[in-house]
Amino acid sequence: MADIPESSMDTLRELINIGIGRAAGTLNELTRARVILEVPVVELISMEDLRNHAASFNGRDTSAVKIDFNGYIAGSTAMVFNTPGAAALVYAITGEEFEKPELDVMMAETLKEVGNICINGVMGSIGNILHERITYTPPRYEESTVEHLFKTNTIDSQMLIVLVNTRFLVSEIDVDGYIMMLFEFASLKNVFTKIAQLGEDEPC
Amino acid sequence: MNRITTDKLNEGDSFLVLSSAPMLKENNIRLVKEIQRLHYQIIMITFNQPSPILKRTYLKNDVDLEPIIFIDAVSKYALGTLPDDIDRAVFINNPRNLTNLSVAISEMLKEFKDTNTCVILDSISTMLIYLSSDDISKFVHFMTSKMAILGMPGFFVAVENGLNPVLMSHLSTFTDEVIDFTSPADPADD
Amino acid sequence: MLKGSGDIVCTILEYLPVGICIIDSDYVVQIWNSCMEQWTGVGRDTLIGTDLREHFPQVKKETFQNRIEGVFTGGTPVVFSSKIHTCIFDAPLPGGRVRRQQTTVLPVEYPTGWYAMVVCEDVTSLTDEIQAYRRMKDTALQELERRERAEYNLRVANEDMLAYISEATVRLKTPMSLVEENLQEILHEIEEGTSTPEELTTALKMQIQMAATIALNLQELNHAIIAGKKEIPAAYRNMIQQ
Repeated sequence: MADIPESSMDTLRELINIGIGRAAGTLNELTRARVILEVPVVELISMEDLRNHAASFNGRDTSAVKIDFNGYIAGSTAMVFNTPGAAALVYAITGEEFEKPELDVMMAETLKEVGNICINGVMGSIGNILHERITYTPPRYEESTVEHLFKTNTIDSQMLIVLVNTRFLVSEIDVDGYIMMLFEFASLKNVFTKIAQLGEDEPC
Repeated sequence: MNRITTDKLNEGDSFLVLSSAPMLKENNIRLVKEIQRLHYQIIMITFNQPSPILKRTYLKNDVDLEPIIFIDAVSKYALGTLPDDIDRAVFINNPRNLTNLSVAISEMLKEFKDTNTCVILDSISTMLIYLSSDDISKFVHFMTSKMAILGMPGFFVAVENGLNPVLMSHLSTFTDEVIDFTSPADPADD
Repeated sequence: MLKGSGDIVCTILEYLPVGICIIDSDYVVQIWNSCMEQWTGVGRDTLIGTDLREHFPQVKKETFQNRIEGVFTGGTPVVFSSKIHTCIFDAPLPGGRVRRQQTTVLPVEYPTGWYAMVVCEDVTSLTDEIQAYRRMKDTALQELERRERAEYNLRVANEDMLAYISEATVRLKTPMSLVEENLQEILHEIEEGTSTPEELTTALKMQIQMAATIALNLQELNHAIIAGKKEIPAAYRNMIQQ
């Protein structure tokens, strides 16, 4: 992680920011409520660090929308909320009155779309600079702790997570959401290599 | 038996006096005699007996009537008119009318302020015929507070086990001491 | 044009219980399975080889097209929830009700390029069940709240009644004893000849009045219990709360 120049991280942040911005635009087109996504905070952490991070929501169950990807880069991306926050977000987006801090099947389906929009925004942004073949699984909704969320992925000690923390502001509520992109080390290296090349290709 | 002492009277203490129902009349006489022995005047607030009957009872039992003033809460209501004997007595129209009673008591207390005078209310149990426990509780609280300010001792007579526990608890709180007259008088006290 | 027959994958797609439509980047329909035919009432002969947008207004919308743009270059799949979109394809139920759909658009790579596979699930029954469940749950919760309130009120009323009876009993019992004692006293005085007729008259009048008042109190108690008095005086309520 120490090998990654700060300028590359800045570029990654910018790409993610663009992706989040795009996602916010899409959400606003679709929904009755005005949705603001705050400028995201982007970190690069290990699986070990994630356990102690606020993004782990203190080991409580979370509501997540997850996709896996393979090809030029391999890993998983998940949009993660604490369950009451996810419920509040869905109610606010659909314009319904808040009823309970849990998600039934229909609400989970709506969250899946919201998560899909955010993930697509970010992955699309990264995919645009890679210009390589990547295959994606359809998004799925999961309820589990953050630790278990990536359990099905092949975990090796070299896997890293690009952690994107953004705040959803809808009507009178604000909800913290995390986009977690779990990369195999080689995959992440590929991303930063492409980013570095981007820097070289751009005129000064 | 609890003794009523000059010191306690001088301090303006108030007392809850418990009696059995059959002995209520007798204990009234007993109490009056005890207080007179200590050279105190008495304001007798009576709900139980009309004042003329009480006076005759006292005379028959060698109680000095001179130092006793009556606030008679029942005669006018029961007889429909004032009795013939109205000497040394103030009459309340209706025992339910605590306002009138309070006014009469306040006037009487003012008149006897700074003298060795105590108040006897006979009895709380009879008041229950006309008034609720809650009203009685508030009235006794009013009386004990007023008398404490004036430093005037007071005696509230009640039939033992004839009061609702909450009222009993309140009366025990408002008064300084409980005197048990349920056991017979000790001849040595005479 | 994708092969429609003799291809095992197409055969599988044909018989899946979900609507499947495959389009190219120009929205030209390649595959339209039998589930889609049944739901929309539009046959594959009508659709295959034509622009899907010309048949279904929702597909023609810019918001839809912008969303699935990336799919035609192998990008991430796209989800359209039934709550936000209701349906992508006009596919009414037999009774005419709207068929609520959850739609996923997936990139499919073929030698001829990237295609979008639109997978459409009918979630009408699921939505109906969830709404029915919610209504049932709301009703049950309201009923529970109503019962709890009723139980509480009943408990308070019972406590009030008990307090009232307790108070009324005290106000009857001791005074009755006193009247009895007083009458015994009067009787004794008559026997002994220790009182004048006037004194006896006064004493008796007094006891009559007390007895009459006690009778009134008893009547009030009777009223409260038998007539089902709802308004228990605050004094009695205060008693039990103390």
